[in-house]
Amino acid sequence: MVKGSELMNKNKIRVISLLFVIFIALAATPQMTSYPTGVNRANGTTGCACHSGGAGTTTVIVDGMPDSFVGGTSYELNITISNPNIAGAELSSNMGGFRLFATDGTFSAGENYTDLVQVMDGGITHTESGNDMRSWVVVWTAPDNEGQIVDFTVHGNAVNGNAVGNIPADGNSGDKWSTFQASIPGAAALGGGAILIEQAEPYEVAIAAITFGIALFSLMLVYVFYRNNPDGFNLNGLTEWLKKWMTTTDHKEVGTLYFVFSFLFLLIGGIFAMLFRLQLAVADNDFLTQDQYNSFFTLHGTTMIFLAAMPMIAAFANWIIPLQIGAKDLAFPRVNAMGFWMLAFSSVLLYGGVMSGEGADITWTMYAPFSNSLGEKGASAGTTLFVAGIIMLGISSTLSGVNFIATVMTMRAPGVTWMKMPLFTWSIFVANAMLYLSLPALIIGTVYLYFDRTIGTHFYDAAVGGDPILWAHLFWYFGHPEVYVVILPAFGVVSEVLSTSAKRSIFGYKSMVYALAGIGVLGFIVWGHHMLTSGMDPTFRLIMMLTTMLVAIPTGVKIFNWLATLWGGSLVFKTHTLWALGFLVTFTMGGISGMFFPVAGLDTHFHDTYFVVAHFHYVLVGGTLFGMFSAIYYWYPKAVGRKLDEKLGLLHFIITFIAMNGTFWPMHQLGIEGMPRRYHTYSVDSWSELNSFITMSALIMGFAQLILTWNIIRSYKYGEKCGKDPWGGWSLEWTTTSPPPTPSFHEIPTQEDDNLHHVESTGGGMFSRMWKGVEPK
Amino acid sequence: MGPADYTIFRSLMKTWNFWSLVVGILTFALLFYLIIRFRQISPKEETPEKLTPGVFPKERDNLTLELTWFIVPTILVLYLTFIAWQSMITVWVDPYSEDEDTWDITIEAYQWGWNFYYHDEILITELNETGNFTTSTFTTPTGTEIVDGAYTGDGNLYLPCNRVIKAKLVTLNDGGELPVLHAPFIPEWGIKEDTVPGIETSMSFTPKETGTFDLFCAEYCGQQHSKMLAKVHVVGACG
Ligand code: HEM
Ligand SMILES: [Cu+2]
Ligand SMILES: [Cu+2]
Repeated sequence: MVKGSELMNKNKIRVISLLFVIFIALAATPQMTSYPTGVNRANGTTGCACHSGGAGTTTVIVDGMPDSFVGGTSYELNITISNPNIAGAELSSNMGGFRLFATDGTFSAGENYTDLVQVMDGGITHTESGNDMRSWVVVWTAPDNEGQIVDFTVHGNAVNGNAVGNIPADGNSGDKWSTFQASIPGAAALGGGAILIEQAEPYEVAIAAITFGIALFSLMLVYVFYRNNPDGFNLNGLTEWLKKWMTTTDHKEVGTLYFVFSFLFLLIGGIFAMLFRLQLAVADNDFLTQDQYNSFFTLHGTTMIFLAAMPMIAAFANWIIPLQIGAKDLAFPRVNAMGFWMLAFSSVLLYGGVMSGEGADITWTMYAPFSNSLGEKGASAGTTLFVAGIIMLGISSTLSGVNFIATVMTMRAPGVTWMKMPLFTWSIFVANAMLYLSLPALIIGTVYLYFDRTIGTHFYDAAVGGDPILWAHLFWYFGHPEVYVVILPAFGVVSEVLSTSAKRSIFGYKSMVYALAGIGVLGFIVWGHHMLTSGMDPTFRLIMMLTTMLVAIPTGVKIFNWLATLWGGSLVFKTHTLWALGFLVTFTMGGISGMFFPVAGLDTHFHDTYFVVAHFHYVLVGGTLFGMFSAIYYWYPKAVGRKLDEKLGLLHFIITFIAMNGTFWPMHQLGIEGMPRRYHTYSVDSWSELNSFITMSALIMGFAQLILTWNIIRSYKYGEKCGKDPWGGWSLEWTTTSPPPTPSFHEIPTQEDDNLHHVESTGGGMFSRMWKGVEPK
Repeated sequence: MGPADYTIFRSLMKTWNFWSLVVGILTFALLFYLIIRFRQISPKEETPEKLTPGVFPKERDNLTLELTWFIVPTILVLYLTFIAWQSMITVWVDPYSEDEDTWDITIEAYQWGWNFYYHDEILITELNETGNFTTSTFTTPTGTEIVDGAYTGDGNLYLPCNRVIKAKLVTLNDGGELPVLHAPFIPEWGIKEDTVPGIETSMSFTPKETGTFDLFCAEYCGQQHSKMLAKVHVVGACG
C-alpha cells in the first residue's frame, strides 16, 4: 500500500512538473499571436499617377478604419505616409501626396482639411496646398448596402521636394511611393445577411490543399484500419489501433511512420513549389504577394530537406539497417520512437505561422541578421515558432543519429564485420556520424536566434556589438555536412541496387568505403564555399576553394566504381534499376555544375542566382530523391510482401526524369543570365520564356508523383506477391520473410563470406589487413 | 544577357565548360556503353560472382584502375584549383593593392534600396549632365566623415568607362533602419559581394563599354528583396 501511494505521488510530481515546463514554454513564446495587427507594410505594386518615383520604401498607414461598416455612417480616416530616407521635416513645401479610392461610398474633407484635400473621380486626393504635409484627415461615408465588401486603395508618395524652382520634370526623381490596401465588410456581410462569393487567394488554396490533404489522409487511415479487418470494424478498435501506432517502438513500424510522414511532406513541399512556380511563370506576375512567395519558398526548402528527404532516409534506415546487420531491433527503440514524434510535432511548429497568414519568410538558410529581426520590415511573426520548430528538429535528429551509430557499432551479427557490411549500412553510419557532429552548431545557432527573437539578446545584431557573420558560419558548419547527410544514403542505395541488378558484387568495395569516409571528413572543412562573397579574408576563401574541389575526387571514385560494377554484369531493368541509372546521370551533372562554384571569378556571378538553384536540385532531386525512389521500388516488396507495379513504375520514371530535366536544366541558363534566386518576380522580359517552360515542366513533374502515390496504395493490396529475395540481393535482409517477423530475427543469423573459399589472407599490418578486409582475431 | 565578353567570367566559363564536357561525355559514353553491352539477354546468364542471400559476395577490385580514377581526377582538380587561384587574385586581391589607380565609390544598402556615393571628382562634371548630382556630406559606418567629393545621385549608379571601379559596400545605419545583409549584384560584370552591417566590404570591376545595366540585390533581405533594383549607367568615352 505504502509503495502504491508513493508511486501516485511520483506520478503527480511528474504531471505537475510537465505542466510547469509547458507553462514556461508558452510564456517564453510571446509571439504566439501571429495575426498582423494592422496592414501597414510598404507595398508598391501599382502606380502613383502623378509621379514617376517608383515603388520604394515609403510606408502608408490609414487609421480609423472600422472592422465593418454600418450603412450611411461617416468614418474619419487618418492617412499618414512616412519614409525615413526622404527627409520631409526640413522642407518647407512639397513633402508628399496621396490618392485614395474606395469601391463604394462617398468622400469628403475632414475637419480643418477643406482646403487641403479635394474629391476627384470617385476618390479623394490632396490639393496644391495640401502637398506640404504627410498626413491628412478625410471622411468616408459608407454606402447603404451593407451586404458588400468595400475595397480601399491608397497610394502615398513621399516627395523629396527637389522641384524647387518649378521644374516639374525633375521634381519627380527620387520620390518614393507605395500603396496601402484594405477591405471593410458591411455589417450584413459579416452577419451573413448576404451571400458573398470571393475569389480564393493562393494562400487559401495552399491551406485548403493542405487541410484537404490531412482530411484525406485521416480518411485513408480509417480505411486502412477498416480493410485490416472489415468484419470486426468498430470505432473503439480504431483508437486502439491508432494507439498501437502511436506507441510502437518496433523499428519496422517506426520506419513506416517515418515513410508515411515524409511522403506526405514531399507532396506538400511539391504543392508549394508548384504554386510559386506559377508566380514565376511570367515577368511582373502578381499571383502571389511578396510575403506569400517568401514564406512559400522558405517552407518549400525547409520541408523538402527536413521533413521529406531526411525522414525518408530515416524511414529506410529504420526499416533496413537492423535487417541488414542481422539485429532484432535498433539499439534504443524508445529513443527512436521519441525521435519520430519530436519530428512530427516540430512540423506543427514550422507550419504554425503559415496557417495564420504570417509564415516564416527567412529562407531555409535562416540568415541572421534578418531572421532575428522583429517589426514591420523584419521577419514575419511566424518566424519565432519556425525557429522553435528547427530546434526541435535538431533534437529529433540527434536522437535518431545516436541510435543508428550505436546500432551499427554494437549490434552487428556474426560475420557482419566492418569491412563486410552492406554499403547502405555504411552510408547510413557515415551520414549519421556527420549529422551527429554537425548538429550542435545548428542547435546552438538556432537557440541564439530564438533568444534574439524572444528575450532580446543580441547575438547577431551588429548594431549593438553582435556578429553579423556568426550565423552563416554556424549554419554552414552544419549545412554543408547536412547536404552529405542527405546524399550519402542515396549513394548507399544505388550501390546496393546496381550490384543486385547487374548480378555482380560491387566493384572496389574497400575504395567505396574509404571514399564514403573521405567525403565524411572533407565535408567538414568546406563550409566556407557558401560564403565566398560575404567579405571574408581571401586566404580563407582560397582554402575553402581548394578543399571544395577536393571533394570531387572521392565522389568521382564512387561514380567510376559504380560504372565498373556494371562491367561484365547481366543488367536487368527493374524500376529501381532505372532510378539508379537515372541517378548516375543527374547526380553526375549536379556534381559537375558544383565545380563551377569554388572559383572566384565564377562564384562572384553565380552565387545566389538560379545556377545555384539548378545545381542543388540536380543533386537533391536527381541525387537524393531519385536514390530514395530507387529505394522505394527496391525495398517495398520486403516491407509489404508484394511488388510495386512495374508498368506504373516505368511511367513514373520516364515522366519524372524528363520533367525533372525540363524543370532544372533551363535554370542554368537563367543563372548565367543573372536571374537572382529568392525573387518574388522579375522585370526582365527575356527571362519569361524559359521561366514559363520551367513552370510547365514543374507542374508535370509534380503531378507525376501521383502515379507513385497510387502505385504504393494499390500494390499494398493488389501487387504481385513475392518471396524472400525477389531481386536476387545478397545482404541479410533478403534471408528473412517478406514482410519480416517481429522481432525481426528469431535467431541472430550469421553472415557467410564467399571470399573465404578463395583467398587465404592473414597477418600483415593494420593497413593491409583493412585493405584485405580481415578483422583481427 | 549575362556577363560581358571581356569579363574574367567568360574566359573561366570557357575552361570550365570544356572540362565539364570532357568529363561528362566520357562518363556518359561509358555509362551508355555499359548499359547496352552488359544488359541481360537471357535470365540464365552467369556472372563471375554468385549473389546468395546471407553471403558476402566474392570481392573484386583492381588497384591499378582504382588508382587511375583517383589520380587522374586529382590532377585535373589541382589544375582547376590553380586557375581558380589566379582568378581569385584578379578578382579579390589585385584591385586592392596600393598602386592600383581606382575610381572609388561607396554603395550603401538599406531595406529596400541603394544609395550611391562618389569620391572622385575628376569625372563629376561630365557625369553631372546625366546624373543630377548634388553635394552632400556622408558619414561612413566607421565614423569617417567625408565632406568634399561626396555626391549622391538620383538613385541610379553612374560610372566612367575603362576605369577600375572600387566600390566600398556598407549598410545604412541611421538607427531607423534594420541593418540586414544585402548584396549588390551586377550581372554585366559578373560581380557581387555582401554588404554586412558593421563591416566594410568591397568589390571591384572594370566597365569597358557604355550602356545601361541592371543592378540587383542578391542576398535575401526581407519582403521587398526582389524590388531592390537600380540601373547602372556607364557614361563618357571608353578610350
Ligand atoms: C516539383 C519539384 C520542385 C520544384 C519545381 C522546385 C523548385 C524550386 C525553386 C524554383 C526554388 C527557388 C526559389 C527561389 O529562390 O525563389 C527552390 C528552392 C529550393 N528547393 Fe526546390 N523544387 C522542387 C523540389 C525540391 C526537392 C525535392 C528538394 C529537396 C529534396 C528541394 C529543395 C529546395 C531547397 C533547399 C530550396 C532553397 C530554398 C531557399 O532558397 O531557402 N526542392 N525550389
Ligand atoms: Cu556546401
Ligand atoms: Cu536583398
